[in-house]
Amino acid sequence: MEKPEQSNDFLAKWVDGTLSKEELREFKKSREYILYETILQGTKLLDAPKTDREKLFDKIQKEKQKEVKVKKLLIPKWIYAVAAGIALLLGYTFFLNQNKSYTTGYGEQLEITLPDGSEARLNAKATLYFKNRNWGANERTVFLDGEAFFKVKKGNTFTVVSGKRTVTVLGTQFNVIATSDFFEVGCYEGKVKVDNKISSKIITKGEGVRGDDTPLNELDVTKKMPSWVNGESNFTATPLKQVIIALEKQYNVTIRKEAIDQHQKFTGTFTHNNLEKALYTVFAAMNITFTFTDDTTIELYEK
Amino acid sequence: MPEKVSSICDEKKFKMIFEDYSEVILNFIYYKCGNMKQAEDITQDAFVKLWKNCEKVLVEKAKSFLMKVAQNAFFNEIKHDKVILKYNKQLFSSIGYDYSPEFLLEEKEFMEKLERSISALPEKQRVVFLLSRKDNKTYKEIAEIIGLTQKAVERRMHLALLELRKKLGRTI
Repeated sequence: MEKPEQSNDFLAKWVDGTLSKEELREFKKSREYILYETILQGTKLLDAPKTDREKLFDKIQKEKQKEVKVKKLLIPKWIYAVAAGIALLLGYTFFLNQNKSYTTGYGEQLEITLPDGSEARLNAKATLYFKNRNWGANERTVFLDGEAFFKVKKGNTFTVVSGKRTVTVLGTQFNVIATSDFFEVGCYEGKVKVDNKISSKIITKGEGVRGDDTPLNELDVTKKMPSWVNGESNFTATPLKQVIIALEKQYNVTIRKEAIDQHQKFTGTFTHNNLEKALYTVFAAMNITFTFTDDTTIELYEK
Repeated sequence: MPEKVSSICDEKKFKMIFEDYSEVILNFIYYKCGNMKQAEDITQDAFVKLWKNCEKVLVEKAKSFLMKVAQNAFFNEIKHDKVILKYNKQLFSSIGYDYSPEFLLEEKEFMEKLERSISALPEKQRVVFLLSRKDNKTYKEIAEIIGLTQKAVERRMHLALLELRKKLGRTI
């Protein structure tokens, strides 16, 4: 008889009841048979943890309704917080009537429609302001600290200023990261002119540049929109330091990074809705271990 | 033309699809990752996604759509726990199986060993083995679920049993 070990589906056939009578009779005589039989019977007696499927269905029903709402209104959850923020700001600007400014907190995003209909979407911990009076009459200038994605309506020159760095456009879609020591621009549609302290470059759709106090380096921009708009942050050969800052802004945590090399480059993505997962995706790839010293402090060290 | 074509967007139909497929998806993911909470989350997401795409997905494609979404979600999840199956304390005799007492050491000990051995199977073998033995799926059905040929499923089943016998053989 064919030995079970020598075949590659003998036991599968046996379980299935498709062995020939002859084969089965022989198999039953073998020493192992009773053990195989016991394994099958024993497995029947094992149970997987049970799930309350009614409850699961209720949860799905709830999620379904949420999805429909989001689709119809295109308003994400944070709109409530943001709406309150805007109301407050409106109150201020009513009295001051000078600058209009918008700021996002940790993990927040904010969509702003500028007076000319252009849109700016702020990522977490960013500030955008512009001079309210006569805005758009001759020029359109906004000031930015942090990261924002712009969709600019056609019109006269639109400029994003951050310190000594400027991005100038006509009508287009682009993303700017401008913090105290980091500057990156990605162009998603149209044409953008980027200036930092020492160099100037014109980039078009699918291109990007990076460089704060160094000459602007070219990058590729492949997506239709920066991924953070959809709840993920994406990086391409970005210094780890910047990735860590982005994590801190997104999750309102402090990351102690003295023990690691912050200049190494990271390429990848982290999610905005699960801190541990985000940390894991970034640091496992870099061979860095992280521990929570308390709820909002994370310490990093090399493996 | 029929007045109304059956669509997933129909609440009743959606519920029926849930009744039909949620258990096998739950178990399938659980057998893979060993975390029921995670399996529930993935299953929930898969059904919500199905609902979002209910106009685009045909009723007869719902199952493979769900499976694909669940599997993709699984690949993106990071944490894999140990698969834990619990011995529900039925006696062997209660299912009418006669075995020689001297053959098995302690029944309980055997069951624990069996549980550990199943957990320790390679994931691919474990999924096939448990879908077949716990969910009573045919090889053909399993092949559809995992997206493999039936031949490959049978091979995995065979290997799973060989492996289990090797592990348990030593104890007896």
